Amino acid sequence: MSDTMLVSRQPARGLDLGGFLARYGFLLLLVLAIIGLSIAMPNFLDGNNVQLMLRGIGISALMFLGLTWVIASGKIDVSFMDCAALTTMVCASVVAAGHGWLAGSLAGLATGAVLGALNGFLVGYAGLPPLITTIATGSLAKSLAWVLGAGASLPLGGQGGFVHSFLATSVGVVPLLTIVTVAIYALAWYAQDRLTFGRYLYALERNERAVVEAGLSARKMTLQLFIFSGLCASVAGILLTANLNSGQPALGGSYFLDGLTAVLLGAIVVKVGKTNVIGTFTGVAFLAVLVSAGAMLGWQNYVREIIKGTALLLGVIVIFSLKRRGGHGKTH
Amino acid sequence: MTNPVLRMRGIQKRFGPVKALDGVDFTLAQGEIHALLGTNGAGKSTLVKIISGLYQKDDGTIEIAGQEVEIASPADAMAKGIAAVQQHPELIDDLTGVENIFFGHEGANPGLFRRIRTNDMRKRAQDLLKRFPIDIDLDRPVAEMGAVDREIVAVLQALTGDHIRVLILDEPTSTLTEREKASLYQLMRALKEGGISIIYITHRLEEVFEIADRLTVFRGGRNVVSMSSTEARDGATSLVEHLLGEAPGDLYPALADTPPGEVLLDVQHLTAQGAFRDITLQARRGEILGVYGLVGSGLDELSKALFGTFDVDSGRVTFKGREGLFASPTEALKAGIFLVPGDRRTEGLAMSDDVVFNTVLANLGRASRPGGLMRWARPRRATAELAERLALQPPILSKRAREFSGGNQQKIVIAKGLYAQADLYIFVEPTVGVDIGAKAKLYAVMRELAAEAAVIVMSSDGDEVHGLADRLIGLYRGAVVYDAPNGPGARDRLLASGMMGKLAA
Amino acid sequence: MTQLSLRNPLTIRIAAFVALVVLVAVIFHATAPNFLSMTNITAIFRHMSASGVAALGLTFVIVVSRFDLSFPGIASFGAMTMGMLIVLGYPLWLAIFLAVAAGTVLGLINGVAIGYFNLPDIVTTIAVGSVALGLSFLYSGGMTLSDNFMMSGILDVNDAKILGISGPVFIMVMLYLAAGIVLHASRFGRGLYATGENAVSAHYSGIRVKALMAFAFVMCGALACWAAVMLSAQSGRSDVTAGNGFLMPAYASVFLGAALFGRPSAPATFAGALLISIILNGCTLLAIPYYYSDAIISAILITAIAIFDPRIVAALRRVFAGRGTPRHSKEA
Repeated sequence: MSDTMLVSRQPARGLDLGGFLARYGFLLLLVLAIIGLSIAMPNFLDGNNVQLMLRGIGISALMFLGLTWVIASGKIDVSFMDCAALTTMVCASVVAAGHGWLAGSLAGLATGAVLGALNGFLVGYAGLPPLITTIATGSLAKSLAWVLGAGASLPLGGQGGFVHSFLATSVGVVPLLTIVTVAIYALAWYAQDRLTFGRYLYALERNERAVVEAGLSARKMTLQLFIFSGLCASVAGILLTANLNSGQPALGGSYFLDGLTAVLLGAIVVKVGKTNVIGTFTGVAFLAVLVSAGAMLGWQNYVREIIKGTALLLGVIVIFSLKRRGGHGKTH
Repeated sequence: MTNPVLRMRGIQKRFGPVKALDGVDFTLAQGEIHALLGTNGAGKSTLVKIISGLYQKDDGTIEIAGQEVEIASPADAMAKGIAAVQQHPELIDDLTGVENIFFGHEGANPGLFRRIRTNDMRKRAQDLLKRFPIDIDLDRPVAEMGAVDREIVAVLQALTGDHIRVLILDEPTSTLTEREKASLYQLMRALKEGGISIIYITHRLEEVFEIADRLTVFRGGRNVVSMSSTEARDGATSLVEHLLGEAPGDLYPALADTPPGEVLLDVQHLTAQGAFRDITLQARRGEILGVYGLVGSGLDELSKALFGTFDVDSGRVTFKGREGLFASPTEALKAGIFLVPGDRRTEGLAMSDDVVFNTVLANLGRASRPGGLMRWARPRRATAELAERLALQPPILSKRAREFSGGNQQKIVIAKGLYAQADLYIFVEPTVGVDIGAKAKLYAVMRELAAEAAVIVMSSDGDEVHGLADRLIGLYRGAVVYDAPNGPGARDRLLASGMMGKLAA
Repeated sequence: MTQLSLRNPLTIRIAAFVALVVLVAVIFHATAPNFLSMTNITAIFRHMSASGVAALGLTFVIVVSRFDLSFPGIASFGAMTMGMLIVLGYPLWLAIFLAVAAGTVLGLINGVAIGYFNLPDIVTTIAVGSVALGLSFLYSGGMTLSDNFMMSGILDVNDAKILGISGPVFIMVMLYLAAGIVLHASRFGRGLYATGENAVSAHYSGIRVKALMAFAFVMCGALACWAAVMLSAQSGRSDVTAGNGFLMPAYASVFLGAALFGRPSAPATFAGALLISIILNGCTLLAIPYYYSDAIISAILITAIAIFDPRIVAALRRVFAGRGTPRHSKEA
């Protein structure tokens, strides 16, 4: 049975080189950069360096997963790194009090969930603007983190736990953390591209009224997305607590820009103009390669910062010129 | 004899002091296409909103298939087999037709984490198209679709519920191309074949003759007449008469009694692809030029082109001896053109600001000292004078624009125009949502303005144009089809030209 | 005539603000008697001066209904620009002038991108802010600059008394007066408010919407650098972290003020900044550790925007009328 009425099953996009480059250009660039760097600097692919990079990618990628979807739904969350900072303090406090890493991790997760729920409630149900709301809640979280440490960080003695073991485990050169992260991203991609979740997520950004008219609750979804973002940040926070062996209220600064840069740069990968998990992962990897290469080339920190900022600005310009070419120019 | 699908008797609906529906009877037979006709405010959209559950009737009975029912909400209407498709359906641009049709029902069960059953959706879409054979490529994103195709998607979305018996279809806003018209008719015939009754709201009479089985004419909140469209076609003029009724009397000020002054605006062969073509008109000082055109006639675009916010392809415009279109409203205002836009909420007013703020906005130079500092007392005094002249109600200058009624909001926009001291005023749909008392006042002001300036009134209310203007232009699908001075018999010719694109006999 | 006071909501709002200040003052005075001393009142104003100026710049952007996240980065760049010029022995006026000029240029980049090219405000300003922050590392690689500061006379800006008012307070008050005149007494200001309220109707009224949008971002960038100059004068050094402390107080001041007075304005921002400064000062007197301050500010901010949000007011009214949905009652 051939379908006569639904003629063009797939639009002929295969030969559209420009479209292909727009979708995968960034990914291609990343691969070329890695190949180039490893030829230029043989120790770039050195086991230690790779492991360091992969571990960094793992933690960052986990932290920014929720953020990716919050931005995809048309909102923004700038409290994620403060949430991670607070999580390190909560987790470290619980561990320091002798309750062990399991209790510490659960307390950390609860921190993220509560903060995310606060954001989600204020944005989704109370209708407050997401940027101001999350600036405020982020600041609140950060302040609470300092309060927990009475103005200082909270070092942990040799109280290793399962989180340490998890971080220390590697399969060959690949850390277990990276494998788990990739698995989580694979699941996330499935939910985003194959399940109803992803469809409603992007629809929320395009036309919230259509979503509501279809009988879905936009408020509830917003709440869920913010809670998920909080949880992702707190998972990263727990890992960082173990990694740094301390609670760090000052954590954040670089993660903030990295997060937004990775997610928004990621919006030029695969789905033009839409933040998505594959894009975020690519963005995180890009930043990790940049940091690693920069360190080897002896760049000052600021060079990296300038590159990041410029890349983000270029990304925005690319996205918007592509979108405009696509004929959505009438929006203000 | 079978029961009609829908029978309404003695429907009453009031909004405050206004009787929107005054004892309306309406019957819809199984599988018929029933057109509702009437000018703005005639009551057809109120009736439709009662049927689709958006409004509640004050009095009267509704029967569906012989059973008396109450329709409490749009969801309730859906449950009873009535679906309404809005003029601007809520669709998601990036998704394809199929994806939009089944939006919210992609999985086997409702829920966030269900597999999207692409093949199943595709199959169901084909089944729908088998039931209602229509040519449409449902694999395109709706962003790439025209108005009619979007409407078809919305209709199919509504029809995924198998129990729908009555479909309410609003005329798509834009002008239809021949292809679009064909697919719209195809849709309607297919639905009819499928046993669905359609209530079709339109302004365009020719469409009624082509597609509708029956029609009902509304005027002043009553159903005036129902007839089959063949009957209507044979006596087209009488239908126009039913639509229009008597010309309303003393709502309008007297026409100009002095000959018009010099030509201020001279438009020659102005064309903008897809909006209007070959427009030629002149606006003279001391005269009101009326342009009548329905939605999709290019009226709105024309007004915006003259004001510097819409690009044209060819033609020549001369204003006060200076040739060329204006690049922006800033320039148009400087030269002396003021536009009272059709959508005052989004285009005309800063709704959260007060009367003085809005009044002086288009001429800040006059409201400030040479250095750019705002004057305090003078703009206030000038605003107070304008408010009095326009009979602004309530005359409280510190009230926000939002807190005024529609008619008084329009008065604020006009006050802004008066403060700008323009030489040419263009009014677009000046009295939409304005009550009758305020209307008379607005008309008087427009006539007063015409004493010193040129005035163009562009409206889809033919009586308004005819009542006000000294010279009449009928615009139909982007072209001038009628151009004559106002006089005896001009009304019917103007209205017929705007509705049908040709002059009635 | 009884309606007179009700007709003018501004009177009520001013009265409410004064009452709030008095209430807070009485509470602090009761627990810390030196709260109302002249020295302490001066300290309150001195404390708010630098961040108050940054908040004033942000006010312009909020008036045109946009957001700016770049001004902390721009402020850091301004501080380092001035610091470097002082270290190199250039005259103070030139150093200050070029610092503010740097802010103007960066603000202009924001403004052109957002006003003329319709790029999204949040992402664009994050990117520009991150580039600005990177650039601020350029001069010294991130080292604090303080050589020559004693000699240059910048410290005198902080210690001077003009008309009996301390230098930074005088500068702040002058800037507020000037900005107040621009925003509330000039045709420029009318245009800015009209743009923020409804850009389409402003465009139809002949207002140069794009130019004004760009102007608002220029003001934000320039005033952020002014604030950075004042901060450097206070601390006697220039730091790449100079702008970090501006983000939260600036947003809190603008939105607290806007919540109190119904819309953003120069006096409203001043009131917001003053209230925050009073509360923080009182907390210091009560020996509440400094790290509570952000928690206090953000809690006030969230409460303020929530309480004054018309939708929230409407929802609360529904709840109290008994017809409301119960979901609003679970607010934390």
